[in-house]
Amino acid sequence: MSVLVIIDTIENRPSAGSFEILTFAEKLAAVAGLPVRVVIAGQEIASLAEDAARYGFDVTGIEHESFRYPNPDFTGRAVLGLMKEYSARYVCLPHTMRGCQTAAFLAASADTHYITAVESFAEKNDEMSFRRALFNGKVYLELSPGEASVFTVQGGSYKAPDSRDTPGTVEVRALSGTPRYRPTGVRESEEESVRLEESDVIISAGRGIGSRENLELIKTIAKVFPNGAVGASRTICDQKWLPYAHQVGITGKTVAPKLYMACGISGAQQHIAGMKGSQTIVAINKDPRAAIFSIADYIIVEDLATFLPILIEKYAESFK
Amino acid sequence: MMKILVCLKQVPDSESPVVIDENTGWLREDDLVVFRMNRYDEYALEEAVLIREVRGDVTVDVISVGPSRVTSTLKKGLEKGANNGIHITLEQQGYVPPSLIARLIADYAVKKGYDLIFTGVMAEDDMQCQVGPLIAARLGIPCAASVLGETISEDGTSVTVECELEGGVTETIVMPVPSLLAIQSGINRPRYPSLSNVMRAKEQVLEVIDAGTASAGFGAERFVSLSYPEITSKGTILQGTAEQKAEQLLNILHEKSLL
Repeated sequence: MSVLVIIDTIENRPSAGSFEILTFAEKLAAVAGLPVRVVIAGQEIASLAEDAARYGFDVTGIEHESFRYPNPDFTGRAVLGLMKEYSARYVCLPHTMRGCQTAAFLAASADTHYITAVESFAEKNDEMSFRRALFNGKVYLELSPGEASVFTVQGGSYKAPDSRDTPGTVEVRALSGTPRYRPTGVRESEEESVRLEESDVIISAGRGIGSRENLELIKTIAKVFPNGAVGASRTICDQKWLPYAHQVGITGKTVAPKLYMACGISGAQQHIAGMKGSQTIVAINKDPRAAIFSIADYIIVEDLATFLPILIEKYAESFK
Repeated sequence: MMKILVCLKQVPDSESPVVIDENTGWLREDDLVVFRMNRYDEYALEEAVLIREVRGDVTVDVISVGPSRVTSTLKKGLEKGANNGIHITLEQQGYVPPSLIARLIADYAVKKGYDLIFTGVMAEDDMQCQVGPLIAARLGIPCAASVLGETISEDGTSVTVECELEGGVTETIVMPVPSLLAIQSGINRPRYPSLSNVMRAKEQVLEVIDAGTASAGFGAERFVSLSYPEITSKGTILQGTAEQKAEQLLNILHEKSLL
Protein backbone atom coordinates (compact mmCIF):
# COMPACT_ATOMS: atom_id res chain seq x y z
CA MET A 1 0.00 0.00 0.00
CA SER A 2 1.02 3.61 -0.36
CA VAL A 3 0.19 7.27 0.05
CA LEU A 4 -0.21 8.97 -3.33
CA VAL A 5 0.29 12.69 -3.93
CA ILE A 6 -1.25 14.12 -7.11
CA ILE A 7 0.19 17.32 -8.58
CA ASP A 8 -1.14 18.94 -11.73
CA THR A 9 0.44 21.68 -13.79
CA ILE A 10 -0.35 24.69 -15.95
CA GLU A 11 2.05 24.84 -18.90
CA ASN A 12 4.31 22.44 -17.00
CA ARG A 13 4.45 24.59 -13.86
CA PRO A 14 2.98 23.17 -10.65
CA SER A 15 0.24 25.26 -9.06
CA ALA A 16 1.32 27.29 -6.03
CA GLY A 17 1.81 25.27 -2.85
CA SER A 18 1.89 21.88 -4.60
CA PHE A 19 5.00 20.74 -2.75
CA GLU A 20 3.49 21.67 0.64
CA ILE A 21 1.28 18.62 0.50
CA LEU A 22 4.37 16.42 0.30
CA THR A 23 4.91 17.25 3.96
CA PHE A 24 1.32 16.35 4.81
CA ALA A 25 1.69 13.08 2.87
CA GLU A 26 5.02 12.31 4.52
CA LYS A 27 3.59 12.75 8.02
CA LEU A 28 0.54 10.68 7.13
CA ALA A 29 2.72 7.96 5.61
CA ALA A 30 4.89 7.89 8.73
CA VAL A 31 1.87 7.24 10.95
CA ALA A 32 0.40 4.66 8.58
CA GLY A 33 3.80 3.03 7.92
CA LEU A 34 3.51 3.44 4.15
CA PRO A 35 5.71 4.85 1.38
CA VAL A 36 4.84 8.09 -0.46
CA ARG A 37 4.62 8.19 -4.23
CA VAL A 38 4.20 11.41 -6.20
CA VAL A 39 2.23 11.56 -9.44
CA ILE A 40 2.67 14.63 -11.66
CA ALA A 41 0.43 15.27 -14.65
CA GLY A 42 1.64 17.62 -17.37
CA GLN A 43 2.58 18.07 -20.98
CA GLU A 44 6.37 17.76 -20.67
CA ILE A 45 7.33 17.30 -17.08
CA ALA A 46 10.58 15.34 -16.98
CA SER A 47 12.46 18.20 -15.30
CA LEU A 48 9.64 18.96 -12.85
CA ALA A 49 9.54 15.25 -11.96
CA GLU A 50 13.31 15.40 -11.22
CA ASP A 51 12.63 18.46 -9.04
CA ALA A 52 9.98 16.61 -7.07
CA ALA A 53 12.23 13.57 -6.65
CA ARG A 54 14.78 15.77 -4.84
CA TYR A 55 12.52 15.53 -1.81
CA GLY A 56 13.32 11.83 -1.67
CA PHE A 57 10.07 10.39 -2.99
CA ASP A 58 9.56 8.16 -6.01
CA VAL A 59 7.85 10.08 -8.80
CA THR A 60 5.64 8.91 -11.63
CA GLY A 61 5.11 11.50 -14.35
CA ILE A 62 2.16 11.18 -16.70
CA GLU A 63 2.41 13.15 -19.93
CA HIS A 64 -0.27 13.98 -22.47
CA GLU A 65 -0.56 16.94 -24.80
CA SER A 66 -3.94 17.80 -23.24
CA PHE A 67 -2.26 18.25 -19.84
CA ARG A 68 -0.90 21.62 -21.01
CA TYR A 69 -3.77 22.97 -18.90
CA PRO A 70 -5.25 21.14 -15.92
CA ASN A 71 -7.83 18.56 -16.94
CA PRO A 72 -9.25 17.12 -13.72
CA ASP A 73 -11.46 14.64 -15.54
CA PHE A 74 -8.62 13.20 -17.61
CA THR A 75 -6.20 13.35 -14.68
CA GLY A 76 -8.73 11.53 -12.52
CA ARG A 77 -9.15 8.71 -15.01
CA ALA A 78 -5.38 8.27 -15.32
CA VAL A 79 -4.84 8.37 -11.57
CA LEU A 80 -7.60 5.82 -10.95
CA GLY A 81 -5.42 3.25 -12.69
CA LEU A 82 -2.36 4.33 -10.71
CA MET A 83 -4.32 4.03 -7.44
CA LYS A 84 -4.81 0.34 -8.21
CA GLU A 85 -1.25 -0.14 -9.44
CA TYR A 86 0.25 1.37 -6.28
CA SER A 87 -2.48 0.07 -3.92
CA ALA A 88 -3.11 3.60 -2.70
CA ARG A 89 -4.66 3.81 0.73
CA TYR A 90 -4.57 7.59 0.91
CA VAL A 91 -4.56 10.05 -1.96
CA CYS A 92 -3.61 13.68 -1.31
CA LEU A 93 -4.24 16.67 -3.55
CA PRO A 94 -3.93 20.44 -3.09
CA HIS A 95 -7.20 22.14 -2.11
CA THR A 96 -7.62 24.03 -5.35
CA MET A 97 -10.67 23.98 -7.63
CA ARG A 98 -8.87 21.53 -9.91
CA GLY A 99 -7.64 19.43 -6.99
CA CYS A 100 -11.15 19.18 -5.54
CA GLN A 101 -12.54 18.10 -8.89
CA THR A 102 -9.97 15.37 -9.44
CA ALA A 103 -10.36 14.26 -5.82
CA ALA A 104 -14.16 14.02 -6.10
CA PHE A 105 -13.84 11.94 -9.25
CA LEU A 106 -11.38 9.58 -7.53
CA ALA A 107 -13.45 9.26 -4.36
CA ALA A 108 -16.69 8.58 -6.25
CA SER A 109 -15.07 6.16 -8.69
CA ALA A 110 -12.99 4.22 -6.17
CA ASP A 111 -15.70 4.36 -3.47
CA THR A 112 -13.41 5.87 -0.86
CA HIS A 113 -14.09 8.54 1.71
CA TYR A 114 -13.30 12.12 0.86
CA ILE A 115 -12.36 15.03 3.12
CA THR A 116 -11.56 18.46 1.69
CA ALA A 117 -9.54 21.44 2.97
CA VAL A 118 -7.72 19.42 5.63
CA GLU A 119 -5.50 21.60 7.82
CA SER A 120 -4.05 18.97 10.15
CA PHE A 121 -4.54 15.47 11.45
CA ALA A 122 -3.89 13.53 14.63
CA GLU A 123 -3.98 9.95 15.80
CA LYS A 124 -6.19 9.45 18.84
CA ASN A 125 -7.09 6.04 20.30
CA ASP A 126 -5.80 4.26 17.21
CA GLU A 127 -8.05 6.40 15.05
CA MET A 128 -6.93 9.02 12.55
CA SER A 129 -8.82 12.25 12.84
CA PHE A 130 -8.62 15.01 10.21
CA ARG A 131 -9.33 18.62 11.02
CA ARG A 132 -10.95 21.26 8.80
CA ALA A 133 -12.58 24.65 9.36
CA LEU A 134 -16.30 25.42 9.21
CA PHE A 135 -17.90 28.88 9.09
CA ASN A 136 -14.67 30.64 8.14
CA GLY A 137 -12.82 29.17 11.09
CA LYS A 138 -15.42 29.89 13.80
CA VAL A 139 -15.53 26.17 14.56
CA TYR A 140 -13.44 23.16 13.54
CA LEU A 141 -14.75 19.81 12.37
CA GLU A 142 -12.88 16.55 12.93
CA LEU A 143 -13.65 13.58 10.74
CA SER A 144 -12.35 10.06 10.74
CA PRO A 145 -12.02 8.33 7.37
CA GLY A 146 -12.22 4.60 6.96
CA GLU A 147 -9.69 2.28 5.38
CA ALA A 148 -9.10 4.40 2.29
CA SER A 149 -9.55 8.08 1.70
CA VAL A 150 -8.93 11.00 -0.61
CA PHE A 151 -7.90 14.33 0.90
CA THR A 152 -7.47 17.85 -0.35
CA VAL A 153 -5.05 19.84 1.80
CA GLN A 154 -5.66 23.51 2.56
CA GLY A 155 -2.93 25.77 1.19
CA GLY A 156 -0.62 27.24 3.83
CA SER A 157 -1.21 24.39 6.31
CA TYR A 158 2.19 22.79 5.72
CA LYS A 159 5.61 23.94 4.55
CA ALA A 160 7.36 22.25 1.63
CA PRO A 161 9.91 19.67 2.87
CA ASP A 162 13.68 20.08 2.68
CA SER A 163 15.42 18.31 -0.16
CA ARG A 164 17.17 15.00 0.61
CA ASP A 165 20.64 13.70 -0.18
CA THR A 166 19.20 10.67 -1.95
CA PRO A 167 16.58 11.57 -4.53
CA GLY A 168 13.68 9.29 -5.37
CA THR A 169 13.30 7.44 -8.65
CA VAL A 170 11.63 9.05 -11.65
CA GLU A 171 9.53 7.35 -14.26
CA VAL A 172 7.74 9.33 -16.96
CA ARG A 173 4.98 7.69 -18.96
CA ALA A 174 3.23 8.87 -22.08
CA LEU A 175 -0.51 8.62 -21.66
CA SER A 176 -2.79 7.56 -24.50
CA GLY A 177 -6.48 8.24 -24.86
CA THR A 178 -8.63 11.27 -25.53
CA PRO A 179 -10.04 13.57 -22.86
CA ARG A 180 -13.81 14.07 -22.70
CA TYR A 181 -13.38 17.81 -22.83
CA ARG A 182 -10.61 20.18 -23.72
CA PRO A 183 -9.36 23.36 -22.16
CA THR A 184 -8.59 25.55 -25.17
CA GLY A 185 -6.57 28.29 -23.54
CA VAL A 186 -5.86 30.42 -20.49
CA ARG A 187 -6.11 34.15 -19.99
CA GLU A 188 -4.59 36.43 -17.35
CA SER A 189 -6.71 39.01 -15.59
CA GLU A 190 -6.61 42.28 -17.57
CA GLU A 191 -5.90 44.43 -14.59
CA GLU A 192 -2.33 43.48 -13.97
CA SER A 193 -1.57 47.16 -13.32
CA VAL A 194 -2.45 46.39 -9.69
CA ARG A 195 0.86 44.99 -8.49
CA LEU A 196 -0.21 43.81 -5.07
CA GLU A 197 2.76 41.44 -4.79
CA GLU A 198 5.19 44.34 -5.11
CA SER A 199 3.55 46.64 -2.56
CA ASP A 200 5.16 47.29 0.83
CA VAL A 201 1.85 48.06 2.48
CA ILE A 202 -1.57 46.59 1.70
CA ILE A 203 -4.74 48.00 3.22
CA SER A 204 -7.38 45.35 2.64
CA ALA A 205 -11.15 45.62 2.76
CA GLY A 206 -13.63 42.87 3.66
CA ARG A 207 -17.38 42.52 4.05
CA GLY A 208 -17.19 44.40 7.35
CA ILE A 209 -16.59 47.76 5.66
CA GLY A 210 -20.36 47.80 5.24
CA SER A 211 -20.84 50.05 2.25
CA ARG A 212 -19.10 50.83 -1.00
CA GLU A 213 -18.61 54.44 0.10
CA ASN A 214 -16.35 53.25 2.91
CA LEU A 215 -13.88 51.98 0.31
CA GLU A 216 -12.83 55.62 -0.05
CA LEU A 217 -11.56 55.47 3.54
CA ILE A 218 -9.49 52.38 2.68
CA LYS A 219 -8.07 54.13 -0.40
CA THR A 220 -7.26 57.25 1.62
CA ILE A 221 -5.31 55.20 4.15
CA ALA A 222 -3.47 53.25 1.44
CA LYS A 223 -2.31 56.55 -0.09
CA VAL A 224 -0.71 57.59 3.20
CA PHE A 225 1.99 54.95 2.72
CA PRO A 226 4.72 55.07 0.12
CA ASN A 227 4.13 52.05 -2.13
CA GLY A 228 0.77 51.29 -0.50
CA ALA A 229 -2.00 49.41 -2.28
CA VAL A 230 -5.61 48.42 -1.72
CA GLY A 231 -6.38 44.72 -1.27
CA ALA A 232 -9.72 43.00 -0.83
CA SER A 233 -11.46 39.81 0.19
CA ARG A 234 -13.33 37.80 -2.38
CA THR A 235 -16.72 39.20 -1.28
CA ILE A 236 -15.71 42.75 -2.16
CA CYS A 237 -14.65 41.70 -5.67
CA ASP A 238 -17.77 39.58 -6.17
CA GLN A 239 -19.89 42.63 -5.41
CA LYS A 240 -17.86 44.45 -8.10
CA TRP A 241 -16.74 47.05 -5.58
CA LEU A 242 -13.16 46.36 -6.72
CA PRO A 243 -11.72 44.38 -9.66
CA TYR A 244 -10.47 40.84 -8.97
CA ALA A 245 -6.88 41.99 -9.42
CA HIS A 246 -7.19 43.35 -5.84
CA GLN A 247 -8.25 40.02 -4.37
CA VAL A 248 -5.96 38.42 -1.79
CA GLY A 249 -6.31 34.71 -1.05
CA ILE A 250 -6.14 31.29 -2.63
CA THR A 251 -8.14 32.24 -5.71
CA GLY A 252 -6.45 35.64 -5.78
CA LYS A 253 -2.96 36.90 -4.98
CA THR A 254 -0.54 35.57 -2.39
CA VAL A 255 1.19 38.52 -0.75
CA ALA A 256 3.76 39.14 1.99
CA PRO A 257 4.07 42.92 2.45
CA LYS A 258 5.79 44.74 5.35
CA LEU A 259 2.35 45.78 6.62
CA TYR A 260 -1.01 44.13 5.96
CA MET A 261 -3.99 45.94 7.46
CA ALA A 262 -7.13 43.78 7.34
CA CYS A 263 -10.21 45.99 7.64
CA GLY A 264 -13.48 44.17 8.24
CA ILE A 265 -12.06 40.87 7.05
CA SER A 266 -13.45 37.86 8.93
CA GLY A 267 -10.42 35.69 8.22
CA ALA A 268 -11.58 32.81 6.03
CA GLN A 269 -8.80 30.26 5.50
CA GLN A 270 -8.91 31.12 1.81
CA HIS A 271 -7.95 34.68 2.63
CA ILE A 272 -5.48 33.94 5.41
CA ALA A 273 -3.53 31.52 3.21
CA GLY A 274 -2.87 34.43 0.84
CA MET A 275 -1.49 36.92 3.38
CA LYS A 276 -0.25 35.21 6.51
CA GLY A 277 3.36 35.65 5.45
CA SER A 278 3.04 39.43 5.92
CA GLN A 279 5.64 40.94 8.30
CA THR A 280 3.18 42.92 10.42
CA ILE A 281 -0.55 42.24 10.42
CA VAL A 282 -3.03 44.75 11.85
CA ALA A 283 -6.64 43.54 12.01
CA ILE A 284 -9.63 45.79 12.60
CA ASN A 285 -13.01 44.11 13.08
CA LYS A 286 -16.02 44.79 15.27
CA ASP A 287 -16.47 41.04 15.98
CA PRO A 288 -14.06 40.14 18.81
CA ARG A 289 -14.24 36.48 17.69
CA ALA A 290 -13.18 37.18 14.11
CA ALA A 291 -10.77 34.47 12.92
CA ILE A 292 -8.42 37.09 11.45
CA PHE A 293 -7.41 38.06 15.00
CA SER A 294 -5.74 34.66 15.46
CA ILE A 295 -2.93 35.68 13.09
CA ALA A 296 -2.88 39.44 13.77
CA ASP A 297 0.02 41.16 15.53
CA TYR A 298 -2.21 44.10 16.50
CA ILE A 299 -5.89 43.66 17.23
CA ILE A 300 -8.40 46.50 17.14
CA VAL A 301 -12.01 45.71 17.99
CA GLU A 302 -13.88 48.63 16.46
CA ASP A 303 -16.49 49.39 13.83
CA LEU A 304 -14.64 50.52 10.71
CA ALA A 305 -17.13 53.18 9.71
CA THR A 306 -16.30 55.09 12.89
CA PHE A 307 -12.70 53.99 13.44
CA LEU A 308 -11.19 54.69 10.02
CA PRO A 309 -12.24 58.38 9.93
CA ILE A 310 -10.71 58.80 13.41
CA LEU A 311 -7.50 57.13 12.23
CA ILE A 312 -7.30 59.43 9.21
CA GLU A 313 -7.95 62.49 11.40
CA LYS A 314 -5.32 61.49 13.96
CA TYR A 315 -2.83 60.90 11.17
CA ALA A 316 -3.51 64.36 9.77
CA GLU A 317 -2.98 65.89 13.22
CA SER A 318 0.28 64.13 14.00
CA PHE A 319 2.07 63.43 10.74
CA LYS A 320 1.26 66.18 8.32
CA MET B 1 -36.30 21.54 -24.97
CA MET B 2 -33.45 22.04 -22.57
CA LYS B 3 -33.65 20.94 -18.95
CA ILE B 4 -31.48 22.45 -16.23
CA LEU B 5 -31.30 21.20 -12.65
CA VAL B 6 -30.00 23.64 -10.03
CA CYS B 7 -28.91 22.19 -6.67
CA LEU B 8 -29.64 24.44 -3.70
CA LYS B 9 -28.23 24.16 -0.21
CA GLN B 10 -29.80 25.84 2.77
CA VAL B 11 -27.18 27.33 5.09
CA PRO B 12 -27.27 29.34 8.31
CA ASP B 13 -26.97 33.06 7.63
CA SER B 14 -23.40 34.24 8.16
CA GLU B 15 -24.61 36.68 10.85
CA SER B 16 -26.24 33.86 12.85
CA PRO B 17 -24.45 32.70 16.02
CA VAL B 18 -22.32 29.58 15.56
CA VAL B 19 -22.69 27.68 18.83
CA ILE B 20 -21.84 24.07 19.57
CA ASP B 21 -24.71 22.28 21.35
CA GLU B 22 -23.21 20.44 24.31
CA ASN B 23 -25.89 17.74 24.20
CA THR B 24 -25.62 16.79 20.56
CA GLY B 25 -22.02 17.83 19.87
CA TRP B 26 -23.30 19.45 16.68
CA LEU B 27 -24.32 23.04 15.96
CA ARG B 28 -27.22 24.49 17.87
CA GLU B 29 -30.31 25.19 15.79
CA ASP B 30 -32.57 27.57 17.67
CA ASP B 31 -34.60 30.68 16.94
CA LEU B 32 -31.45 32.77 16.67
CA VAL B 33 -30.22 30.77 13.69
CA VAL B 34 -31.68 32.08 10.44
CA PHE B 35 -31.46 29.77 7.44
CA ARG B 36 -31.28 30.96 3.84
CA MET B 37 -30.07 29.93 0.39
CA ASN B 38 -26.33 29.44 -0.05
CA ARG B 39 -25.17 32.54 -1.94
CA TYR B 40 -23.12 30.56 -4.46
CA ASP B 41 -26.30 28.64 -5.33
CA GLU B 42 -28.13 31.94 -5.89
CA TYR B 43 -25.63 32.69 -8.66
CA ALA B 44 -26.15 29.19 -10.09
CA LEU B 45 -29.93 29.65 -10.13
CA GLU B 46 -29.70 33.11 -11.66
CA GLU B 47 -27.45 31.77 -14.42
CA ALA B 48 -29.99 29.05 -15.25
CA VAL B 49 -32.85 31.58 -15.33
CA LEU B 50 -30.78 33.87 -17.59
CA ILE B 51 -30.24 30.95 -19.99
CA ARG B 52 -34.00 30.38 -20.08
CA GLU B 53 -34.59 34.05 -20.80
CA VAL B 54 -32.22 33.91 -23.78
CA ARG B 55 -33.16 30.50 -25.21
CA GLY B 56 -36.81 30.40 -24.26
CA ASP B 57 -37.44 26.68 -24.41
CA VAL B 58 -35.77 25.80 -21.11
CA THR B 59 -37.08 24.31 -17.87
CA VAL B 60 -35.28 25.15 -14.63
CA ASP B 61 -35.77 22.76 -11.70
CA VAL B 62 -34.38 23.38 -8.22
CA ILE B 63 -33.57 20.53 -5.85
CA SER B 64 -32.54 20.47 -2.20
CA VAL B 65 -31.83 17.73 0.33
CA GLY B 66 -32.62 18.24 4.01
CA PRO B 67 -35.26 18.48 6.74
CA SER B 68 -38.58 20.32 6.36
CA ARG B 69 -36.93 23.74 6.84
CA VAL B 70 -35.32 23.54 3.38
CA THR B 71 -38.75 24.03 1.77
CA SER B 72 -38.32 27.77 2.43
CA THR B 73 -35.15 27.75 0.31
CA LEU B 74 -36.88 25.78 -2.46
CA LYS B 75 -39.78 28.27 -2.38
CA LYS B 76 -37.24 31.09 -2.63
CA GLY B 77 -35.87 29.28 -5.68
CA LEU B 78 -39.32 29.33 -7.25
CA GLU B 79 -39.70 33.01 -6.35
CA LYS B 80 -36.43 33.71 -8.13
CA GLY B 81 -37.72 32.06 -11.27
CA ALA B 82 -37.34 28.25 -11.12
CA ASN B 83 -40.14 26.29 -12.77
CA ASN B 84 -40.28 23.33 -10.37
CA GLY B 85 -38.98 22.46 -6.91
CA ILE B 86 -37.91 19.03 -5.66
CA HIS B 87 -37.43 18.34 -1.97
CA ILE B 88 -35.56 15.20 -0.95
CA THR B 89 -36.46 14.91 2.71
CA LEU B 90 -33.63 13.84 4.96
CA GLU B 91 -34.21 14.32 8.66
CA GLN B 92 -30.70 13.23 9.67
CA GLN B 93 -29.27 15.53 12.34
CA GLY B 94 -25.65 16.52 12.76
CA TYR B 95 -22.94 15.90 10.19
CA VAL B 96 -24.33 14.86 6.82
CA PRO B 97 -21.63 13.57 4.47
CA PRO B 98 -21.51 15.48 1.16
CA SER B 99 -21.21 12.10 -0.57
CA LEU B 100 -24.70 11.21 0.71
CA ILE B 101 -26.21 14.46 -0.60
CA ALA B 102 -24.48 13.88 -3.95
CA ARG B 103 -25.77 10.31 -4.18
CA LEU B 104 -29.36 11.33 -3.43
CA ILE B 105 -29.31 14.07 -6.06
CA ALA B 106 -27.56 11.87 -8.63
CA ASP B 107 -30.10 9.07 -8.02
CA TYR B 108 -32.91 11.55 -8.65
CA ALA B 109 -31.30 13.10 -11.73
CA VAL B 110 -30.09 9.94 -13.43
CA LYS B 111 -33.29 9.19 -15.36
CA LYS B 112 -34.58 12.72 -15.78
CA GLY B 113 -32.50 13.66 -18.80
CA TYR B 114 -31.09 16.95 -17.58
CA ASP B 115 -28.91 18.70 -20.15
CA LEU B 116 -27.10 20.77 -17.56
CA ILE B 117 -26.76 20.50 -13.80
CA PHE B 118 -25.71 23.61 -11.89
CA THR B 119 -24.39 23.85 -8.35
CA GLY B 120 -22.72 26.66 -6.49
CA VAL B 121 -18.95 26.20 -6.45
CA MET B 122 -19.11 25.59 -2.69
CA ALA B 123 -21.33 26.10 0.34
CA GLU B 124 -20.71 29.13 2.52
CA ASP B 125 -20.88 27.15 5.76
CA ASP B 126 -18.58 24.17 5.23
CA MET B 127 -16.86 25.10 1.94
CA GLN B 128 -16.41 21.46 1.05
CA CYS B 129 -16.52 21.96 -2.77
CA GLN B 130 -17.65 18.34 -2.99
CA VAL B 131 -21.28 17.91 -3.96
CA GLY B 132 -21.04 19.25 -7.52
CA PRO B 133 -18.07 17.17 -8.71
CA LEU B 134 -19.37 14.11 -6.81
CA ILE B 135 -22.75 14.30 -8.58
CA ALA B 136 -20.94 14.56 -11.92
CA ALA B 137 -18.74 11.57 -11.11
CA ARG B 138 -21.74 9.50 -10.02
CA LEU B 139 -23.63 10.36 -13.21
CA GLY B 140 -20.52 9.83 -15.34
CA ILE B 141 -20.73 13.31 -16.85
CA PRO B 142 -17.92 15.89 -17.06
CA CYS B 143 -17.75 18.76 -14.61
CA ALA B 144 -16.38 22.29 -14.79
CA ALA B 145 -15.69 24.05 -11.49
CA SER B 146 -15.55 27.74 -10.65
CA VAL B 147 -17.44 28.79 -13.76
CA LEU B 148 -17.36 32.52 -14.51
CA GLY B 149 -19.37 32.40 -17.73
CA GLU B 150 -20.86 29.98 -20.23
CA THR B 151 -22.16 29.95 -23.80
CA ILE B 152 -24.35 27.11 -25.01
CA SER B 153 -24.04 26.22 -28.68
CA GLU B 154 -27.12 26.97 -30.75
CA ASP B 155 -27.91 23.28 -31.26
CA GLY B 156 -27.51 22.69 -27.54
CA THR B 157 -24.91 19.94 -27.86
CA SER B 158 -21.94 21.71 -26.31
CA VAL B 159 -21.20 24.45 -23.84
CA THR B 160 -18.13 26.67 -23.78
CA VAL B 161 -17.26 27.70 -20.22
CA GLU B 162 -14.89 30.21 -18.66
CA CYS B 163 -13.39 28.72 -15.52
CA GLU B 164 -11.32 30.39 -12.86
CA LEU B 165 -7.94 28.93 -12.05
CA GLU B 166 -5.83 30.32 -9.24
CA GLY B 167 -4.24 33.79 -9.19
CA GLY B 168 -6.60 35.64 -11.51
CA VAL B 169 -6.05 33.21 -14.42
CA THR B 170 -9.08 31.87 -16.27
CA GLU B 171 -9.33 29.04 -18.79
CA THR B 172 -11.77 28.27 -21.56
CA ILE B 173 -13.16 24.74 -21.81
CA VAL B 174 -15.43 23.21 -24.42
CA MET B 175 -17.70 20.71 -22.66
CA PRO B 176 -20.22 18.26 -24.07
CA VAL B 177 -23.89 18.27 -23.01
CA PRO B 178 -24.83 16.88 -20.52
CA SER B 179 -22.32 18.38 -18.11
CA LEU B 180 -22.26 19.75 -14.60
CA LEU B 181 -21.19 23.35 -13.97
CA ALA B 182 -20.18 24.51 -10.49
CA ILE B 183 -20.86 28.23 -10.64
CA GLN B 184 -18.54 30.79 -9.03
CA SER B 185 -19.88 33.89 -7.30
CA GLY B 186 -19.78 37.17 -9.21
CA ILE B 187 -20.89 35.60 -12.53
CA ASN B 188 -24.14 37.62 -12.51
CA ARG B 189 -26.33 39.69 -10.22
CA PRO B 190 -28.94 37.43 -8.62
CA ARG B 191 -32.37 39.03 -8.97
CA TYR B 192 -34.94 39.75 -6.34
CA PRO B 193 -38.14 37.73 -6.64
CA SER B 194 -40.83 39.28 -8.83
CA LEU B 195 -44.29 39.71 -7.34
CA SER B 196 -45.83 37.32 -9.88
CA ASN B 197 -43.27 34.63 -9.03
CA VAL B 198 -43.86 35.15 -5.30
CA MET B 199 -47.59 34.60 -5.85
CA ARG B 200 -46.91 31.54 -8.03
CA ALA B 201 -44.47 30.04 -5.49
CA LYS B 202 -47.12 30.33 -2.76
CA GLU B 203 -49.48 28.10 -4.67
CA GLN B 204 -46.98 25.72 -6.20
CA VAL B 205 -46.55 22.25 -4.70
CA LEU B 206 -43.06 20.86 -4.33
CA GLU B 207 -42.24 17.35 -5.46
CA VAL B 208 -41.32 15.49 -2.28
CA ILE B 209 -39.12 12.41 -2.20
CA ASP B 210 -38.37 10.67 1.07
CA ALA B 211 -34.72 9.73 1.39
CA GLY B 212 -35.73 7.59 4.36
CA THR B 213 -32.75 6.09 6.07
CA ALA B 214 -30.47 6.56 3.11
CA SER B 215 -26.76 6.22 3.68
CA ALA B 216 -23.86 7.23 1.52
CA GLY B 217 -23.70 3.65 0.32
CA PHE B 218 -20.20 2.81 1.40
CA GLY B 219 -20.17 4.06 4.96
CA ALA B 220 -19.13 7.66 4.97
CA GLU B 221 -16.37 9.27 6.93
CA ARG B 222 -17.25 9.33 10.61
CA PHE B 223 -17.98 12.49 12.56
CA VAL B 224 -15.54 12.81 15.46
CA SER B 225 -16.12 16.23 16.98
CA LEU B 226 -16.74 19.93 16.61
CA SER B 227 -14.63 22.34 18.59
CA TYR B 228 -13.84 26.02 18.84
CA PRO B 229 -10.42 27.01 17.55
CA GLU B 230 -7.70 27.44 20.13
CA ILE B 231 -6.95 31.06 20.85
CA THR B 232 -3.47 31.06 19.41
CA SER B 233 -3.19 34.77 18.87
CA LYS B 234 0.03 36.28 20.14
CA GLY B 235 -1.31 39.60 19.00
CA THR B 236 -1.52 42.76 21.10
CA ILE B 237 -5.07 43.93 21.71
CA LEU B 238 -5.15 47.72 21.57
CA GLN B 239 -7.18 49.12 24.50
CA GLY B 240 -9.01 52.35 25.25
CA THR B 241 -11.29 54.61 23.25
CA ALA B 242 -11.31 54.57 19.46
CA GLU B 243 -9.20 57.76 19.53
CA GLN B 244 -6.63 56.16 21.82
CA LYS B 245 -6.48 53.04 19.67
CA ALA B 246 -5.93 55.16 16.57
CA GLU B 247 -3.07 57.04 18.29
CA GLN B 248 -1.49 53.80 19.50
CA LEU B 249 -1.69 52.29 16.03
CA LEU B 250 -0.06 55.34 14.41
CA ASN B 251 2.73 55.24 17.00
CA ILE B 252 3.34 51.54 16.39
CA LEU B 253 3.50 52.07 12.62
CA HIS B 254 5.83 55.03 13.13
CA GLU B 255 8.16 53.02 15.39
CA LYS B 256 8.29 50.30 12.75
CA SER B 257 9.28 52.98 10.20
CA LEU B 258 6.18 52.22 8.19
CA LEU B 259 4.97 55.81 8.53
